[in-house]
Amino acid sequence: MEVHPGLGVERVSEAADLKKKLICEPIRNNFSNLRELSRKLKSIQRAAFRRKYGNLLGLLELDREMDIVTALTQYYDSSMRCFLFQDFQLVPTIEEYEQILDLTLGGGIPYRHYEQHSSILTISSITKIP
Amino acid sequence: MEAHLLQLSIKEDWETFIDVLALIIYGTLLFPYSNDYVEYAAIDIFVAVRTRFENPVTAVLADTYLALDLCYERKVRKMLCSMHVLYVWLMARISDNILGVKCPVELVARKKLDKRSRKDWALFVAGLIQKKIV
Repeated sequence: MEVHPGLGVERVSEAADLKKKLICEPIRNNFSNLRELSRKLKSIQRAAFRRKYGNLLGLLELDREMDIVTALTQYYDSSMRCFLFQDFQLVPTIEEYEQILDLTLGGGIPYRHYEQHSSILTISSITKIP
Repeated sequence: MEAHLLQLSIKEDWETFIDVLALIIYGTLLFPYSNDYVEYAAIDIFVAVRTRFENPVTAVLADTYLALDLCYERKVRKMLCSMHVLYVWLMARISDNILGVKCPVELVARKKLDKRSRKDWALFVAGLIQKKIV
């Protein structure tokens, strides 16, 4: 299971051939504090978290290489709503996102947007922030 | 928020701790808006998941498409969507035995990528062809 960057780049030898589209900068949040805090959870609590919210803690621990995603965004074609590569197209799907987040839709209701924002009261009762 | 989280951990109120931690992750990782600020939309989705047991997967995916579209159509320079999820997705697609396993996140986390410059990655993505994708 190795990725070999370098293979298959024969056809794009010159940097000038690279798509020179927009560079979309991802927002760079600093997660180190949050990781530190999340490690206070014991394994049984982590399991409870996962049941409730899916695999968010796994995502939080992930060291990501942002530049590859930045590179990917340049291949997005907004009229076709997919990523266009040399000889194929690729789109992320709901099923794949279910897997990544470890939350299956199966029979459940997807998120529905309401015009009304949730009330401050609800939020403060969940978070116990007065 | 993080200070509040610390307080909760000192009080050992783990149930609330889990909720607040999830809310912060919603605001910063799943639906990022800006540093140190959780957007109201992210709070709404969190509340829907927490109280009405709705599923956020479609929202995360839709947000990804919206952010990509905004980048192109309105020339917004910031990608405001979950780059973590998109990253895992991409890595899963370009490595052989990840897709279809139960938790791709752990496998991607275990895979160490070499540090490469932005230009090298751009070349790598440009060189992707069909047979390399699972």
